[in-house]
Amino acid sequence: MEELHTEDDRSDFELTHHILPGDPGRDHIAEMAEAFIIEFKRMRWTNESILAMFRIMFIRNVERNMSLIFSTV
Amino acid sequence: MPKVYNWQLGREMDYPYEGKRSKRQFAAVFNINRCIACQTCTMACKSTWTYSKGQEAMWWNNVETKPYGGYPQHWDIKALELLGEQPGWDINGSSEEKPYGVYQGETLFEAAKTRATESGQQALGYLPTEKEWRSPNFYEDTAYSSIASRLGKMADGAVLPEHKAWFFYLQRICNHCSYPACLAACPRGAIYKRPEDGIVLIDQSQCRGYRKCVEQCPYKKPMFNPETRISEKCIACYPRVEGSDPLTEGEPMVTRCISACVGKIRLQGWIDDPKSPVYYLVREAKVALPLYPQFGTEPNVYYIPPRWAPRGYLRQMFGPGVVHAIDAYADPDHELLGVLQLFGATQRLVYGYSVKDDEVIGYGRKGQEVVRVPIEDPVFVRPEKHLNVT
Repeated sequence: MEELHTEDDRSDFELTHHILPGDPGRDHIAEMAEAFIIEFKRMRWTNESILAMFRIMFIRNVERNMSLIFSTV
Repeated sequence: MPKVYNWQLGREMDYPYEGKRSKRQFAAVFNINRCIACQTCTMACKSTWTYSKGQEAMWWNNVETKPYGGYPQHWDIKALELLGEQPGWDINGSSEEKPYGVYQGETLFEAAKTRATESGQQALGYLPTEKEWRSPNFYEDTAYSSIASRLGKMADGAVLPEHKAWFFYLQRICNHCSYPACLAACPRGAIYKRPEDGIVLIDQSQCRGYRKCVEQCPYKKPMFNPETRISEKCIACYPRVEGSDPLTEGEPMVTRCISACVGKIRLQGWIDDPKSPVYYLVREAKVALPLYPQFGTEPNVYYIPPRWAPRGYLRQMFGPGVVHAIDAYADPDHELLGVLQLFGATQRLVYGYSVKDDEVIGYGRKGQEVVRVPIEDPVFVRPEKHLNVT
């Protein structure tokens, strides 16, 4: 942590860009969505407030799965 | 080298000092299933302890995206690589004293004895480069980043901004280990474990900045301050744990990162006190597990593993108790449901608890009630005529 750096030289970060495989036959993202629903329901959040919480770009796929789950129950 | 008993390994192991347990051991449980990486804990810690010159890249609390990220970058991959492939646990013969069975492989201390004698390391370790410390969570949630696209490296990747890969968030502070590698590594004897609560501290007047603690702590939680040229680390907010914060008039409080958590994913307590809810979660319900117990430091921050992640990866990270932990957590009994309600319920440190039919009560240091929470929160719907809209 001794040297000084500028914003530009951050590009030398090593990006590995591998997707680690999951367990065969499991949809991990759907399971993740389900787990978050259970957790936040336990805290008495409504469907709408849970969806609002997850409407951020990085986890949009989780939110899409949540919508699917809500629409089928 | 003296032998000490490590209950997470279910056996004795080598450690440079005689085993001497503290009177109480600081511990915490983090529920990964609830964390959305809002980083409120990170900022609560930062604004309390590491806002000075020289501490800019210092994050005693950080939340990283697993399996892709880490602070410092790839800290756990590098530690696991150093340790090498190990045979794991023999889960036959697990008992009260060895809840996960018996670890058959080498710890970082044992590996140092056989492999790193020339370097003089007490625990096998490495010193991260300066750039690996630069940013916590850097690009972790933008895995298909603009830089990768510009370099043409992500032509086949998923379209921004979606994650199609599994991931979870790992919340990290110092583990205040029972057998700290940082303490073992320090040639100055500047690191000590407090006998009253097991919190691990660096004596700033003794440290000379050799960075052996930074090198040999596998969790990479001691950090070098280039301004003062000595090392610093998470202090478990000890003034709050001691009860010297004026807010609670002498009553011990939980750490800043724990009290600030929006998602109520954290609970602090004592791992060696059977009355503590943390003891219940770790030693009785066995839903909370240590982080990389195979390193051998007996870490005291425990995690309820994420239900959705691949079991093999979780087993490597949290040991052989993963399947039981996930099964028990997915189908909680009444006591577990009650204890889960204590997470984030109060800033005061909960020493004991009792679970009733419809509520759970937390007790403080002197046995007085400090919090009472319904197990099933009632929902009140405001009548339409009283809606606060115009």
